[in-house]
Parts: sequence; structure tokens; C-alpha cells
Amino acid sequence: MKRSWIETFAESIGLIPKISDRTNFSQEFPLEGPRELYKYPEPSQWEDFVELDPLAWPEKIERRYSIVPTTCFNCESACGLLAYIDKSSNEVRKFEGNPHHPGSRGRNCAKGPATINQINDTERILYPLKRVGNRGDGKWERISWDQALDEISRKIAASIKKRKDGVVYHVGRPGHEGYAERVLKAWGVDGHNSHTNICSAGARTGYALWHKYDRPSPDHTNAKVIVLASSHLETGHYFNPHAQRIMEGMMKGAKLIVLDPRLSNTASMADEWLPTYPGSESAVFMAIAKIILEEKLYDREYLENWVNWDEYLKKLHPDDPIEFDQFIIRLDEEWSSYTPEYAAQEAQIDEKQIRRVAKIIANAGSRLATHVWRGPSIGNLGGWQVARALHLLNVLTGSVGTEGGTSPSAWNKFHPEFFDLPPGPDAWNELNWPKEYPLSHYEMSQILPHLLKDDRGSLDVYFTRVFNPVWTYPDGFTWIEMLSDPQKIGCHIALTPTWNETAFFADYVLPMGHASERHDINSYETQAGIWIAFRQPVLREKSRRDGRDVKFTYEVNPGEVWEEDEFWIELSWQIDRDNDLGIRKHFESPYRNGEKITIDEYYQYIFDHTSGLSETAKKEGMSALEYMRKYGAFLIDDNVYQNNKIEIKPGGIIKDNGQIVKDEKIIGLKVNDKHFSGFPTPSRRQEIYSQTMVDFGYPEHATPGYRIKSHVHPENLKEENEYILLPNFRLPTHIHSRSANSKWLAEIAHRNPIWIHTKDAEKLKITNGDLLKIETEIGWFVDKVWVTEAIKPGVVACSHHIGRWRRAQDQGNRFMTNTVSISSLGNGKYKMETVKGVRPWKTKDSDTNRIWWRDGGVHQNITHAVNPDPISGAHCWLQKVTISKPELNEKYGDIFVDTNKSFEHFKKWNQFAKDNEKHPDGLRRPLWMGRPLMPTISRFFLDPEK
Amino acid sequence: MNYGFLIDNRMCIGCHACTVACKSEHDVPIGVNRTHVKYIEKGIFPNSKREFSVHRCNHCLNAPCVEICPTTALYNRDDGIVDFDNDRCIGCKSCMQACPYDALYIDPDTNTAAKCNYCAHRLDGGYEPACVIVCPVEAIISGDLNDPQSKIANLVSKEDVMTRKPEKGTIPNLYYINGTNDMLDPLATEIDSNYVSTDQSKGVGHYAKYAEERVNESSNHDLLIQLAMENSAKTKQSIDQRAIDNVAKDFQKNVDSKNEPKRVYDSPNKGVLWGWEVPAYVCTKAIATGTLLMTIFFQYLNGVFDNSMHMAGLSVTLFFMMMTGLLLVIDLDRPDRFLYVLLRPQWKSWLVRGAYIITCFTALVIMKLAMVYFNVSHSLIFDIIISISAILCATYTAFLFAQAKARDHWQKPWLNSFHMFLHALISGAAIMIIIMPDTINQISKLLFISLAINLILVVADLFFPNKTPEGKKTILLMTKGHVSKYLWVGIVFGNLIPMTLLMMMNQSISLIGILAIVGIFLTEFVRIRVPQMIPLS
Repeated sequence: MKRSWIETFAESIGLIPKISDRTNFSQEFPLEGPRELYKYPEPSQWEDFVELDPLAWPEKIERRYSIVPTTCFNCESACGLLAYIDKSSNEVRKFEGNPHHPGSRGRNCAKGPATINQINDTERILYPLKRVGNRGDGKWERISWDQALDEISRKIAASIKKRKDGVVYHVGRPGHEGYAERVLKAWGVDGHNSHTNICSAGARTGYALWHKYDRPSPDHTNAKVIVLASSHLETGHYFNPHAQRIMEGMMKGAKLIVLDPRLSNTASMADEWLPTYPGSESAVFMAIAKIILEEKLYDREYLENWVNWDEYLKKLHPDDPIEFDQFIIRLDEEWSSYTPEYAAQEAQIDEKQIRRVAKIIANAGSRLATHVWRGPSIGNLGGWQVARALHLLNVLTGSVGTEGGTSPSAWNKFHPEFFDLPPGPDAWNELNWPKEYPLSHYEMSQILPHLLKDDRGSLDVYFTRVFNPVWTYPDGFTWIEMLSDPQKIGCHIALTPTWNETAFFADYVLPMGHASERHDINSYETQAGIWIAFRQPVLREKSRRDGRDVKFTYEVNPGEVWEEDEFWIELSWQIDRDNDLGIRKHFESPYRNGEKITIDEYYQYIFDHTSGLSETAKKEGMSALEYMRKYGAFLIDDNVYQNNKIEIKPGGIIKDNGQIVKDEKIIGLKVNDKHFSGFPTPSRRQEIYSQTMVDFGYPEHATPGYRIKSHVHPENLKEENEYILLPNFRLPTHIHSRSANSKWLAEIAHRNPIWIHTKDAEKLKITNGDLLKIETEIGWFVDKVWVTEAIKPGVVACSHHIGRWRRAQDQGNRFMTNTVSISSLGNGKYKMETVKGVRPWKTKDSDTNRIWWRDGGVHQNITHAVNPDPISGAHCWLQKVTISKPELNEKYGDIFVDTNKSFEHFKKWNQFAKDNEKHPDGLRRPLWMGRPLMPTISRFFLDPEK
Repeated sequence: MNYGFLIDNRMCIGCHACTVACKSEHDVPIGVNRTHVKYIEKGIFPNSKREFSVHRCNHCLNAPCVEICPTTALYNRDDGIVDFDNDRCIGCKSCMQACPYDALYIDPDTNTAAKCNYCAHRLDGGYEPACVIVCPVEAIISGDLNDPQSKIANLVSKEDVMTRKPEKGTIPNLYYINGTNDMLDPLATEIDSNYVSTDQSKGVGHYAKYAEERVNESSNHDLLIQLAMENSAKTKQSIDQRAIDNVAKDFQKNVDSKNEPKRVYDSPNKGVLWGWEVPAYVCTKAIATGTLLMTIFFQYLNGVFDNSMHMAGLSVTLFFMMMTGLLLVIDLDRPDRFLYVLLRPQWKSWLVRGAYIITCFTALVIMKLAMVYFNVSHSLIFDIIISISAILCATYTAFLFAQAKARDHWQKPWLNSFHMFLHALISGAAIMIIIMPDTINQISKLLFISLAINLILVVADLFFPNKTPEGKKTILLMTKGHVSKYLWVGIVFGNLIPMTLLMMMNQSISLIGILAIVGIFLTEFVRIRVPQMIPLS
């Protein structure tokens, strides 16, 4: 551009710095005619990519980057990331999407690029720490990895020698495929615990009852109608991959139907938002099913061939002729009460809307994509019915596994082949799998502290791995009580990239890497295809590119941050230090006899045994491992549909109903003269009738329906000012309690007021910003209110993620943590008070010093009672609460909990399960249903000797 | 070539990925954003609805920020991008007064203005902006609007698109598919310091330094009191915000608020950027120029060329010009670069023109002082020149304000320049009364008439606002908002009381002068501050 002569003169005599000679860079390119813009650099440029420095701009300073692919470790979607490593500083400058990742296709949500905040978090744990003083004192000393490995391995070895259920690995989101399970099997312990029962247990049970597969994989892209009882345009996994495909489908004309009592961002994008009363969703689905049935809009051919209707008739109506039309008549009878009027009444929505939506769904034909994962399934007593009833719509429309339909997850997920697979443990951990929950999906993790308190066992070594139950789980004070008691938990080791409320109560805190600091493989059912992705420590790969190989990942990570994969190998090796426990042999290299496996060999083996990967790699002159290091992801199979129609070798006895029987086992189905594998259920069909439910004590739930009314059904909320608290809705910018170390995410969301409908607010005479006291069944908390038209009257909601805390002696996550004081009032009563909100503090990152918010929200989950569903085992998140204005001395952020009450509450709900407890053939659990870390078959029996 | 953005609201899911990717690309400090997503909610349950809108620089063809920028720190590239060079920026914040879209901010690390620059550094390497590639649903479309083959040009021509504030004549290059007035009109929803997931209790951008200063302060255990204290602390916008809220409540008292769209998430408020320094500079400039004019005028009127009176008047002028210069410099976020205004001039900017006028005028004053000191006989031509430059110096600021296209209330340059001329007369007269009390008889009439016209102008300004919603809101805030007291005090103590005293020929003559000048400061304080409180996005 033109500069004044004055400037030129002033610069020439040195009065002001000379900067006017900067070129106008756009002149370097033709200004006319089309110009193609790229999204990402080509992989051929990744080892040395030049980009202009945005901070120096418009000065043209070139930055040279080594670009290494990895995957995001924030939510479970494992979207692809490219780490831009600045070659001059050898530090990661930023993260962008990896265009070669088949799930995320180069795109990310806010949490992907925010990874850089987590890497550069000034408060991250950089070295292994060991407790000084009592548990929870907040005093730590730095120890070496060698010391940590030595001490922990001895404790584990001591436990293993005594028993096979004393060591437990409790995982938040695994973010890997089978790694830890293999390790536990190698140790021979039944020690896998997960977060499933506060998350997806309800949906899993509902789906598993149909076809063992416990998870849906909707093909949104090709759908005509998309039904979500979830909010996957804003949260959850697989948020980003699913959102892109839902939008793609919608732009092609798909209709979006969303059920949610709260106007989620997803509901706001919907063609039809059904603000259903919590727990009534299955009533709505059953009504829609009834309309489809009555109007004969179902896919008769699909039902006849792929649904166990014959069993339905035989078992429920033994005198009926085994004819399909008779089945329809009986269904019609069974569903007679599920009228749209009834559903509308239960859901408190417009009956016309139900009829309208039913038409839309029926018209989808085989292109009906449906999804429920958490939401209502994890909110309500009997929430598993929601998934079962929703899947019924897929069954009726013949859209199971079709293009544009909904597949079972396993069809779209890769299962790695390990170099060594130890047998299942010869043990059954009663704390993870208490026998009164034979159908739970899966470990009863939310009542672990209550079972410990109930003297049903103890733990010798307890790993919490990227897992924060004190904050995330209901009834955190009972967790604190148990974690603080060395008699209940002998040793607690927190494996975590960042401080959390649970790590405060650990004996060892071991720092594990973020997305770009660790190895994992990932594969998720984000679409109708199968892919794998490789999470790798990017600086290690950079080091390799520079010709410097390292032995362990912590050599290149910040401080001594390590990764679990290598940690487990080293730990396992040391547990079996005398090579007499039979553990070492499972960690010996498949390539070097008798020697300890390296992490590279571990992945080399898996990638070499991944279908099509070696061939593709070879075309580029690479090994499979080299290919994955370079591209970070691989599409194994595209367009995967109808795996139930995988043909099997003819043979065996064909029964009247088409079942193929071999060695007294039903192994497939004969349909239209072809032999198919079918589904992995006892009938090899979609099970509209479940013998398992009958056998395990729930004959009334043999078929899908709406029979269990939620614990927060209006019938159970009769007192004045009783409301439903919807406590588990999530925000697009956070990942449970994992993102408080990201300043950019924290500044977008850091408070969690109570959403309340305008009319309810008027009734309570409160306005925006007023304080409200929320009394749960075990305590109370005080929060501010947010008056809105975006919530169903009668329901109040409070977002997840927020209300993080630390005590004066703790550290970490200061972008989002209030400083609290916790006082024990005796007799199981606890009070938590907010001493200070979020405060700025001085570090080398000037942003910490200019935090512009003070409100860190309120921790609500700690006041929740545990509500274990007797069938699915799910924690039913919705809370029955009483709402009032706080007393004068009750302040914002005050929390009170009575753990004696919470224990009584646990006993009450636990009794629901015990009341119906049945063990056909002495089984602890149906043999055909899934279970993480499958033990030996004999252990499935209460009496393994039998 | 003309690069632009299209936001496809059929697809935008409000996930904030663009916001964070942008922060990552440019290392944008917390509190400020180059792009952000605003959420609004409207309708009554169950027909309630949330709408998302991505806000950022509009890359205007006719960019007011470029026009007002004194140092070409902001400039239009030939390919349509409005880019900036922070090495040139002096932190005058005039771009933030000019941009009708609230796209700029002061970067607290560099203390210079910044905004979306279309990732020019990426573009010049051939890559799309960071926000475009991150978007999960590809709702942000970038490209050449002039290339009929491009996706963006196709969509803009085929779909029903909307731009923001086209009436401003900026010719924006940011389009929206499925845009609504509720989401894009800043006045359709109220701004707030508490949104559903955020709570602003501290200043950001230019005001971030206050957060930094207060790190170790206070250990009050009551969070509520703490928050309330902080709300009323240094971050000026919080106080203003409450004023806006109060006025808004008055405004909507009879309206069913449930029917009103509500802003439920937005980026933090950047606050009022021209604080007390600017009205103070208007005042000192008025005093300096007015005193000079009066000094010259009275000498010719009385035919007496009194050196001591000259010296006194010229000294006062020089002193207040120095004060003027000082205020201008301290208002800069980069005071170290104040010379750039003169030495890297962008001639269309009234900041530059004003700086040269001030410099020339001050030089003339010094010359005149030298002439008086060395007893050089007066020159009518020189006195005409210095008087004209005084008038220019007194009035040019009205044109600077008019260049601030974002502020509707400042768009009357000729009237305002006359008003500033009046300020000069009033202050000059006031100073004359103080330094030469014997001129009171001659001056009191002039002062009385000037004050009367001034009062008429100030009051007329309140009674004949722009008919736009912005205009109405401005008047509401001026007359009823929390700063309105300054206006009323200014009118009563700065105009009515001095006029009464003058009518009574009261002997407290110095007081009259001081009151009149303080009155100007107070009324100008309100007239400069309030328009900055009208939300722009």
C-alpha cells in the first residue's frame, strides 16, 4: 500500500523503526481468476512444512514444522489431530485436524484444538508423586519412575499371590482397544472396572436384549429420518463425527427428530422437538410402534425372517398357531394400551405431534437412523426400556444394519489381534459384579464405595485411570470416605494427566500423557465403515524423524510425563520379578525370544495383522507401523451393512423356523435358501421376546414396552415444590471433568446455574440470578438460577462439567476450580463451602493472570444419591429434588451431604435388585451377554466347582 | 479477487470450534476473540428455539476501521481482506469506535488492536482459514466472491443471504444463510454480564490489566460479596452494564419479556474504550483554543495590544495545548508510539489531520509567544491565520467522531463542530474572566449567549434523537442511565447556575468560569461515553 513520504523520510533518518517496506503479500498471487485453496498440507510435506508465523504477520517469517498425526484424547471419539511441531523449538505449536482420519475427516470440535492448552497447562503434573502424611493431606513428594514401579509392583505381587480380586483398574474412558484388559488377564485378576454404569448401561442393556450388541451405529449420512434421544449435535461421543454426518444427512433432506426435556442445541436444530417428560420416551416409541403396526407400515419381510416372533408365540401364547399374522395380532393386543393419547399424557406433549412423528418415521423405510446412548436411558429407573423401544422402531421398519439405517456398533468397529492373549481370569470380582445384578452392563462401579462400606470386600491396589469418581460420580463424600480408609483400599494410584478431586486422595499420582503424549489405537463406530487410528507421542515420532530413537516416551514428554502402555509393560515385568508368576511370558516380544516387548513391537504386531493395512503400506514402500506413524489412521472397510447376512458354510440341521443347529447350538439362520450367520443372540435373530429376561427374574419384561415408570415419574413427585433435577446434560466445550485445564474451553463455560422454566420461577417468586436451594434425597446445594423457556416446566436442569473444586492444600485446574473448605460435622455429615471463586494467578502464561470470570459454579453430583437400576445396573441420574429459597446463612456454593442417609438410600435401591434376584442354573450372568474381561466359564456359576 | 465468508446457519450447531481454532492459530488471549458464536433464545416453550450466529470481521470493502486508522495499521488488501499490522498500531482504539460490527479488540499482550485477518498468513501459503477447516459441519465457507465458479459465490447468488448493517455503507463481505434479525441485530437482545455458562466480573482486552493488577487483592470469604465488590470495581463496563440493564428493564416494563428474544451466550463485553481522557481532551482543547481566540479578539476589540495580557492568554493556551497533547498520548495503549500519528500518517484519518492541526496550532502559539516576548509588532495576517487554526483545532474533533461510524450519535459533524466552537468560546470566556477579571462586563454577555446556545444544543440533542432504536436507547441511557447524573449536574451547574449568576451579575466570577468548564466536561463525558455503551453485536 502507499505510504506517505513523511514516513519514508522519518524512517530513513531513524526516527521510527523501518517497517514500511513490508510487501503487500497478496501481490504475490494472481488477483484474478480462480485460485484453489487447500485445507491441509499434503502428507509429503509433513516432515518439513513451512507456514508463515501468524504472530509476526504481516512480517513474513517462515516457521518450519514437522507435522505428526495423532488422535484426540478428550472425548472418546478419537478424532484425528495433526500436531504442528515447531522445528526450531521442538515444541508443539498447535493442533489441527487430520484429513486422513476416516471418522473425523480433518474436522474437530472445540476440544481438539484446545489440546494445546492441556499440553501447556502451567499446573500439570510433571513427575510421579507419592503421598506424604495421610491420604488427602495434599502433601506430595516427587519420586522417580523406578521407585514408583518398584513399590507398586511389590504391592500388586503381594496381592496376586493371595487372591485374584484384590487389584482393580478402574477406567474412565479407555481411549484404547483392549490394552488394559490384556494386561489384567496377564496378571490373572478379575480387576476391570469401568465408568459404564454411570454412562451407558441403560442403553447397552436395551440394545443387548435385542441382539447382544450393546451399542448403535446409525448411518446418519444416508438416512431419511434421524431420531435422537440424545444431543449428538453438541456433545457426547461421537459428537464431531456424528454431527458432521447428521448435518450431511439433513442437507440431503433427512428429517431430524429429537426427544429431550431440555432445548439442547440438537433439539434446536430439529425438525421435530419432542420435549418429553423424562422417562416417558419409551411410551412415545411404543405409541409410534403401535401406529406403524396398525397402519401396516412395517417391513413384513424383515420381521418374518429376522425376528424371533415364533419364539414369542410359542412362549407367550403356546396355544396359538405359529403364524406370522397371528404374531401381529398378538402384538396388536399386547400394545393396545400404548395409544398416542396415553403416550402424550405420559410425555406431556401434544398427541398430534406423536402421530405426525410416527408418520415421518414410518416413511423412512429402511433409512431410519436412531440413537440413544445416555440421556433418558441413563436418567431413569427402567431407562434401558428406551433403547429397547427405540430399536424396536428400527426392527419394525427393517432398518437394522441397512444403508441409512442403524447398525450394531460391533459391525463398524475394529478388533485388534494381539501378539499374545492370556486366558480369562479364574476369578469373579464380587465388588465389580455383585450377584444381585446379573444383567448389568457392566460393572456396578457407582456402588463400589457402598459395597466397601457394607463390608462386602476390600481392595489391595486400586488404580483410578483418567477417572474422577469423587467429582463425577454421585455421592462423592462416600467415595472420599472409602478412598481415605486404608482398610478398605490398601493403595490408591491415580493415573492422570492432570489433577482431579480423586487424585487428591491417592497414594501415588502418576502423570500420564495427553493426546500427543501417548500411544493407543482407536476404532469407533462413527459411520458405516471400519477404521483404526493411531494415537502416538508426537515428539517421540519427531525424535525418530530426527534420527534419535528413545527408549521410553517420558524422555520426550514434558517433565517425566509417561503413558500407560509402557508403564504397564514395565510394571508387569517387575510384578513378576522372579519370573514365577507366569506374567512375564505375556510381555515377551513376539519378535525377540524371551525379551521384554517394546511398545513399537506391540503396535507393529497389531498393524501387521490388520486387514489390508500391510498391503496399502507396501504400495508406499512402508511397513504397516510406518504407515500408521505417517498417516495416523486407516480405513479398513467402507460401506459396511447387514453383517447378519454374512453367509456361512451350509450344513447342520435346519429347523422349521430356519435356525441352523450344529452340535446342539444354533449357529445361524437359513433365509431365502441362503445360510447366514444372523445375530449373536440365542435365537440368532433380533429378540422381540427375551427368554433371558424371563429366566433371570423379569418375565414381565420379556418383550419391549413401557412398563417401568421412572423413579421421577409424576406419581413419585407429589410434594409441593418437588421437581426433577436433570443433572447430566453436557456442553459442547467440555469433557466431563477432563477439560478444566483448558483456558479456552473454560472461558466459554465456567458456571452451571439451575435452568428453570419461567412459570416455575414465577411460582417460586425467583428471577434470574437468584439463589436456589436444591435438596436431594441425601443433602442439598445452593446454586443460582437461570430462568428460561428452554426447559420443560417441572424439570430443572444443571449442566455437568462445572463446579470443580480444590481445597486450600490442593492444586490444579485453576481456570475452573473454586477453593472450598470441607468440614466433617460428624455422624457422616459433611459441609462444603466455597471459600473463593476462580482467581487469576501469576505464571509464565500471562493468560492465567487475566481471568475475567470468578464464578466457578457448584458441584452438584456430590449431593446425588446412588440409584442403581436393578436390571441394567445403571445409575439413574435424574434426581428427585425439593426446591426452596435458601436461608440467610446459606450461601452460593454451599453443599451439605449426609453419607449415612446415602448409605440407607443405597440399601433401599440395592434391595430392588435383591427382591428379584434369580440365578437360573446357578448362573451369575447370562453366558451369551457381553462382559468386559471375560473370566473362565466356570466362574460364571455361583459355584464354580459345578 | 474478493475474499469473503459465508456462514451457513442451516448447518451451524454453535459448537465454538471456530472460536477455539482461531485462538489456537493466533494465540489470542483469553477475554477477547477474533471470532465467536453468539447464542440467542426466542419463543415460548415448547416452541422455543435457540439460534447461533458466528460473529467476526466483515472484511468490508468500505471499511470504516481502515478509514479512521491514523497509521495504516489497518488496511484493505487487494484481495478483499482487511488486514492489520500491529507494529504500526498506536492503540488509539478509534478503529473500535468505527467498526459497526465490534470486530476489533485490544490485545493485552501487545496493547495493539487486532481482529480476524482471514488468516492472511495461511491464505498467502494457499490454505483456508483455521476456522473453516475445523468446522465439523462445514458451515463456514471461505472463498473468492468474484469467482463465479466458487462455492461461496454460488451460494451467495442462489440462497437467500443476509449481511449485517448494510445501511452503514460498509459493503461487508460476511454473509449469512438463514440469518435472522434477532441474531444479527445487536439491539434485538440485551447484552448481559451473566450468560448461561459464563459470568463476566472483570475487564478484558484493554481492561485486562485491571484483572492483572488485582491478583493478590482481597481474601473475603463470602463469594457473593466478593463478586458484588468486583462487579463494582474498576471494570467500567460492569457498571455500565448494570445501567444498561436497568434502562432495559424500564424500557421493557410493559412488554412481555418472555416474548423477547434473549441473548444467552456471547463473548465478554470489551467495555467503554474512550474513557475520561477523551472528554478531558475536548475540554483542554476548548480552553486552549478559546483562550487564544478571546485574547486576540479582545485586543482587536479594545484596540489595546497589551503584552502582559498576551503573555497570560498565550501561556494559558500553550499550557492547555500541552495538556491536550498529554491526554491524547496517555489515552493511547501504545503511548511510546505517539509520534507515529505524525510520522506514519494516513491522511484520511481525522486523527492524523487533527494531530497536524494541533501541531501547527501549537507551533503558531509558540511563534506568537516568541513574537510577544521579543516585542515583534502584531501582524493582522498572522493573527487571522492563528485564529483560523484555533477554530480548526477546536472543531476538528467533530469530524473525527463522525468518522467513528459505529456511533450513530456522533454522526452530525457540522452541528457538533459548531458545538465545539461554542465550547471554545465558553471556556475561552471563562478563562478570560479568571485571568482578566476586568473584562467581565464585556465577556459576560458573550458567555451568557454561548451558554444559552450550548444549553439549547445539549437539550435539543436529547429531544431530537435519531429515530433509530440506537438513537432512542442512547437518549434513554443519557437521561436515565447511571451516568445521566453527570449530564444533569453538567446542565444545572455548568449552564443554568452560571447563567443565573451572570444574570444577577454575581461577583463570584471565577466560580462562574470554573463551573462552565466543568459543565462542558460533564456533558461531553456523557455524550462521549453513552454512545459507546450501545451494543454493536
